[in-house]
Amino acid sequence: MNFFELFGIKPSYFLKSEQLEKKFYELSRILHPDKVQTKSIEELTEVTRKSALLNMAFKILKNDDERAHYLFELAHFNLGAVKKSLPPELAEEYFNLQEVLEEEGNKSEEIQSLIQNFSSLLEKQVVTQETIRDEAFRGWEMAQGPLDERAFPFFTRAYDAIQQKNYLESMADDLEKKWPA
Amino acid sequence: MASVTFGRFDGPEIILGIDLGTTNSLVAISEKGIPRVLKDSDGTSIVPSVIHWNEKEKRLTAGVGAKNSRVLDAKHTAYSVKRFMGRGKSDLKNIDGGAVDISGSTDENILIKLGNKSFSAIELSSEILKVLKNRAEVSLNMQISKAVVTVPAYFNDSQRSATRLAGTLAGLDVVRIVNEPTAAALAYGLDKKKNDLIAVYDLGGGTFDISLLKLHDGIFEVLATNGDTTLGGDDFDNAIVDFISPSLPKNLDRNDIQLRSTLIEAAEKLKINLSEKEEASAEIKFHNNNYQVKITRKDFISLIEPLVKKTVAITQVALEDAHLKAKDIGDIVMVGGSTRIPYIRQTLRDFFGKDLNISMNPEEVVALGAAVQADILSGQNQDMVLLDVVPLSLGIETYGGTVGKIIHRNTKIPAMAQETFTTHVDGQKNVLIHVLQGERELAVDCRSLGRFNLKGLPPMPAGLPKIQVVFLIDANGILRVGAKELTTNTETAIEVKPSYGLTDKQVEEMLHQSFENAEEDLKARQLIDTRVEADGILRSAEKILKEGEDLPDHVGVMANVQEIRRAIENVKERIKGEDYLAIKDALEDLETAAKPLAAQVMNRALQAKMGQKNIKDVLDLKKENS
Repeated sequence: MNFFELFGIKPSYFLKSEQLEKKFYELSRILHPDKVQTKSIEELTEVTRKSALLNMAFKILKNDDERAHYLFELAHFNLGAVKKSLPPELAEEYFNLQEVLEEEGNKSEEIQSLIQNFSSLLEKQVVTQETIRDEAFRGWEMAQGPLDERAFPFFTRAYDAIQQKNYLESMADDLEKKWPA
Repeated sequence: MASVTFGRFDGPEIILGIDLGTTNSLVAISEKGIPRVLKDSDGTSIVPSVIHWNEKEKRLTAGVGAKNSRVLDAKHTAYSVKRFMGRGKSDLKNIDGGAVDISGSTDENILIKLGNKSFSAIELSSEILKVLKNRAEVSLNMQISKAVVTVPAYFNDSQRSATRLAGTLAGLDVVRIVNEPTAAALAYGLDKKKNDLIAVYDLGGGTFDISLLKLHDGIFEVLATNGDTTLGGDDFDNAIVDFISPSLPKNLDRNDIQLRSTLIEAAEKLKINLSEKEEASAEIKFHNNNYQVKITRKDFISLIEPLVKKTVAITQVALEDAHLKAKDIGDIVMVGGSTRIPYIRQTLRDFFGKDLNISMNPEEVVALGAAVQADILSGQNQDMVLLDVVPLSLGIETYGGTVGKIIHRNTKIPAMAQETFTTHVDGQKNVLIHVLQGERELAVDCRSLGRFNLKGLPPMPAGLPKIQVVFLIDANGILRVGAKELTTNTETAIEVKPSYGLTDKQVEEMLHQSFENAEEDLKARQLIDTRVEADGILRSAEKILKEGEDLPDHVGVMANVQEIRRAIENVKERIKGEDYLAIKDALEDLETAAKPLAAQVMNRALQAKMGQKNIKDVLDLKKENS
């Protein structure tokens, strides 16, 4: 039984978090060790293991990236090494920013506006990658959501977009840490 | 011991809810879904977490009586032992021993020296649990064997295991370890139908916890928890001691345990008074001298400010972990005696931007919540479910001494992780796994939980065996580990070396010792009883000897007298010893030896009464008449 089946839903990337949570609570009322009157240690271990699996399933299904990776896993999709790089649209801006930060030191107004500009460019790119990811998964679901090789073209696009998005987000985080607005 | 009567409750057996606190402990039960704290005959609910060692009687006592000894007999009195639970020598730099001698501690265990004997925190805690268990048994008039015991949410694996063991030593099966703030939330949310996000700010005598929960139709879902197990009211007391000490004469020995106890007790009173007044003073009585000390609320605030700020910073981390902001929280529940301090209340009001919930008794709410959890476990409370989290990340030491996290903090429990290990040398027979708990990157900075030795691997080339290890954290937040070699599908034996606390063998010894002690107690009673018995038999034997001495020496009376004399000497010799069984044997010999002479003495006495008739005839005559 996979995690989707445990929650009584068909494998999908697009899940409503309220529904997922409602189902999780329902299942917890049945599966949590506190709700099971047990006798032996073996039985208790088994109950604990089942409850742990439910918790693991909920954690994976409610998180976008983890859910995507779980779908990849179910389809035996081999994650290739994707080169994370700055999109060309951002490269020049980033280069300029670095130069100003190193040379000018404390011209705070100019630096602030440059950083803000770059941050908003990053944000736009993140949204673009999210759109690519969602389109890829939507395409896969339109093709009946197969969990085998037929999914690979869709998953390749989704995976690349996720990796790219995460790279851009960590860059935004670093910027925020070094130069808080 | 309470008398045992079943039948007062027809339902399932009663499970106690116990708050084993740093300063005070309480016991509660749930009846028909309503929790209540059990009180003693004076109507007091609190049992001070203080233990006294009576050196003369070789006996530990806990509770109110022991608390009185804290100043009168400081050298034999332990308090706040919860700080030492599941900890070893290396933790000592983080905790202040206060007025307790812990110099004899080992790497695995902190030992508290009370006069001529050293105790582990587990043993001392079990004395508190015994008092609570006894209170429940007397009050409910039934025998109790199960309990839910609360611990700070931020307690690690070894501290939890130590708590459970203290229960075992007290004769209580700890069916569940519950986090204190979560227990408080259970008591708080009992009659609440609304769904809300709540924060439980729990500042007790020795520990601080913050837990964020989502309440949803009887589901109590912990979203995040954080804390500091070495921050609490005790630290405020110690800060006051440091503040008032300079005003005392320089020649007083600041390290004197008696003086320290007196100062800490005074500091506690000053602290409590400062919650009501702007200034407080106290009199320090030491060696027939009185010293006046005082402190203002302003002084006190400047002393505790850094500590209170630390709790706010920790609260901020918990909020971030739960992806929440301070303004999202609907209700802030205050737990623990230290939350009575006005400065702390003001700081939190400012931080959350709203009024606090101080409707619950901060001292009783945790015990009440433990009783609610006991009700859930006994199947009585069907509506509520508690979904808690693990407070600290679980990891494995990898090459180079770094930690690979396998279960992250704030993961819902029960939680599970699987890892596959292999060998590095051809024919390697075992693999050692070092399991750690904590957030730091290096193994040396995390807390070692134990070393698991996977033994009995079938001989294979390096890298070929695949040993699947399952790490399972149960609903108590305690780790269990199982392993299997996948290529040959053999169960792998695991030998656990816990880094702190007690090994299984030590536990066994401790249980055995308590059993042996019970046996020794019994032996002592038997010895006294036997000596009393011997006294009586010796007296009657000597009386018979005296009366038999002038009997005509036929049918070996003299030989019998000699025999009796020898037997008497033997008994007198044995009485000097401690072995009651040897005394019993000697007494039996004496009785056997004295029988012939006793019969003759009795015969003569009867003959005198019956007028020369033989005793046998008298008896026969009686028979004929009847």
